[in-house]
Amino acid sequence: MRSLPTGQYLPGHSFLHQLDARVKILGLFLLMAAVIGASSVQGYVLVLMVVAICIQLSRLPLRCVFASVRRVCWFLLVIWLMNALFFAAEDALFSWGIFQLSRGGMRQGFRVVSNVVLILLLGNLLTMTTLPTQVTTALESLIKPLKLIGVPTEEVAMIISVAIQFIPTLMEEAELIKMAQIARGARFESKKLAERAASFLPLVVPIFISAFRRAEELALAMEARGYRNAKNRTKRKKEPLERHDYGALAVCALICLVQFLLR
Amino acid sequence: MLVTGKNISFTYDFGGAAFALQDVDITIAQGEFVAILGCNGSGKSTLVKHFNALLQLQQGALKVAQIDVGNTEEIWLLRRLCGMVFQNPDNQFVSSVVEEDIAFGLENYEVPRGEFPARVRSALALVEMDGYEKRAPNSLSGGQKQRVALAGVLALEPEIIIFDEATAMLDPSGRQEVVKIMHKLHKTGKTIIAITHYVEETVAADKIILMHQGRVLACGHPRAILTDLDLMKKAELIPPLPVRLYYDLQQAGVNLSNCPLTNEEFVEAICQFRSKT
Amino acid sequence: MSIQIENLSYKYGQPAGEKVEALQDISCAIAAGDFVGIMGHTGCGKTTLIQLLAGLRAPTSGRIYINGEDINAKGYDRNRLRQTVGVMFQNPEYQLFATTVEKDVAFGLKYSGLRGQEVTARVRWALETMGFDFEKVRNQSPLALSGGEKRRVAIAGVIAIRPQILIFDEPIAGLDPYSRENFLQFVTQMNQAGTTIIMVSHNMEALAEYTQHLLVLEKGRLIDAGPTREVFIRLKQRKDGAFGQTAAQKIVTLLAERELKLPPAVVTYGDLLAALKHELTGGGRG
Repeated sequence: MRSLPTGQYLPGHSFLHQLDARVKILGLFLLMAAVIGASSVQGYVLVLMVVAICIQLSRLPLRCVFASVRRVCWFLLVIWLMNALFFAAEDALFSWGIFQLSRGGMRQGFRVVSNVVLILLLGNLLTMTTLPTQVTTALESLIKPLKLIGVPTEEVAMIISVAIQFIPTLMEEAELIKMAQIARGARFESKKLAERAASFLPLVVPIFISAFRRAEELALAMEARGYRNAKNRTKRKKEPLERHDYGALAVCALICLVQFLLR
Repeated sequence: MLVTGKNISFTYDFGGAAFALQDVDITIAQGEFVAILGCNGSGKSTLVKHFNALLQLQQGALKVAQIDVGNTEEIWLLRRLCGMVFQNPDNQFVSSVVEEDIAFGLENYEVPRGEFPARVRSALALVEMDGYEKRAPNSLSGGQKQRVALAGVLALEPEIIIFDEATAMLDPSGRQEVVKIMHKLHKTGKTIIAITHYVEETVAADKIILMHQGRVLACGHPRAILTDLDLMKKAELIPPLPVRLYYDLQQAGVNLSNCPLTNEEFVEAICQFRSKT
Repeated sequence: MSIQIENLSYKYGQPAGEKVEALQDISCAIAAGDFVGIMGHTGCGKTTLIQLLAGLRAPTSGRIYINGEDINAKGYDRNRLRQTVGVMFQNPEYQLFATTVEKDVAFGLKYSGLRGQEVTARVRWALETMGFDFEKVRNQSPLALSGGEKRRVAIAGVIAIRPQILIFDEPIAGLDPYSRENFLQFVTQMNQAGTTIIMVSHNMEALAEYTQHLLVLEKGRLIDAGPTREVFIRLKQRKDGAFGQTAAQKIVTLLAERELKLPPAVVTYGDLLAALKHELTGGGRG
């Protein structure tokens, strides 16, 4: 079974595992803002330390936490190169046609890459310490305020919950379809960009059709089990937040604040 | 009679001439194990989707558990009384945790949350999957998945359980698991409607409804239907092995006393033949 | 096109770090023009084996030789492998994607070296072999066809390549009896025309009736291989009954309990019928 690009859940009893999922999601957004807002050296040191502490708090093996980063390292290299070579700066080290290697570009490249890596790590920490069902319950809770502006939050929560459940199934099917098409001559790993682009359709069209087909069948199954809308259903029980949840949330908010003050 | 239908017709092809169902009459008594048998395209699945109002009745009349299927106010009650397990094990789950998936039906009927654990547990016990509450449906085998889907239906305590080709995508051991539970549920008094094109699964039914190209070809006891070679040919089905042996042996001059349906009956008939000669 | 498999193993890693051995040390040979069945419970490694044979995965260790050439060696032409080996996975109708039936069937011929009229002729041949009226169906959308028709278009797409080896993964699962027979007849015809066929199935009667040799996998290991009939006889003799018996074998067992002993070589329906006729019409009267 394939693991998701954002690390799969690993059971444990660490501080992060025990934090309420809503706090973890909100905390993630706050820390993501802190990462993006980092502009000075102190700012970067701060977020680096924060991420390191979070990894510590999760008691997860480093190898697993960094696994998804390793998987995208080529993509990260491309991002760095694109910034280093196309950044319009005065202090160009050397230019060749449209390419312009500059110190400013390289620095920008590093900034973008490190932002991506840090955010990936934080995202990983969330998904590796939280059960998918906890994430969806938390999301349901968090989007409730959107009801005030007319968003059908219960339906949205149901959709998210069902969709997440299907991810492993769809990924397995995608793998099989990919193999079936490769066996017919599709060239997904070809060096020629044109060939790779042409191979896109034989993969995407069947997966889309499959997803729609599954959705249709599932809708029927849900109706057969009495589903009519998301409102007339037994409500979920509300879990109260504990002291350490409020504490953690406060700390994240504080870090975010400090980051903006450091700009 | 638990299910009474007359002159049911249905088409997916609006304005066209292709009818998925043509003039179907059907009656099912309470507590019966009915097999609806036919090859692909015979209309079996289309027919049963009328029983729990998944398809709207276009022509004809149909009453299930004293409820008229056209009565839109009673649909929810109808769907609780008449549950359905579908063909694809993967496309029936809404949650990645077994107990939550089974509770889905209970939530839909606003059953108080306090009752959930007990009802989930008893549903799992009925399908012989005790202890699987916290497992992920994706991690189970095909037969187990179908049993969990069935548990989700059983949690609502239906009177009728429809199996819409529920064994078609399973390997032989998975199929055996599901068929065993079907018969077990039947013994507890539930009405079972099993749609299939596997002739072997229909041998132990109380009644077979044989369908072909949207029409009911025949309706009767398995013995009357499965031993009729012409009927099987019309339905584009292959009779069970003992039946084929009976007729092939007859052509070779070996006349067994009765046409056997099961392996045991066949062996018995062979022994009788030998003792006579 | 003969196939030689030597010490083939395949391991893959799980997210938490542990390695799963999908296949362990498989060695066997498949002669050109053979019709081989692969049998085993779900999870025994059948699909992985097929993927390796088709060059869709690289083995962790061991080699696969097709016509004497190691398909995983550097410099082996992958394109040639695609033209030599045709694979059809379960539910092939799900891999259709093109705007017309003709384009979908022609997809596999893109790198075959055929051009223009040759491609059209090949597509015509493939669709007609699968029972279609070429002119009627060529411009239809594959997605507008019925389930059975979709499957036949998918098969046409695979045979259009005219591979010398055809591999099928559970091709008859879920098919109704007549469709099953039609498919098996078609595969037999291809085999008689010289194509090597490898068929994974859990339908024991189909394997017994149609295959010449059988490979049995259990938990990643090859536990038996040989002529089909002999393998079924050996499997029946297993004490744990892990593989069950063909329908014919089951009747033989029941008859033996009632003192009627039929030869152990009875594996298919045909065998059973012949043995019973012999036994009951004076041939074996005693």
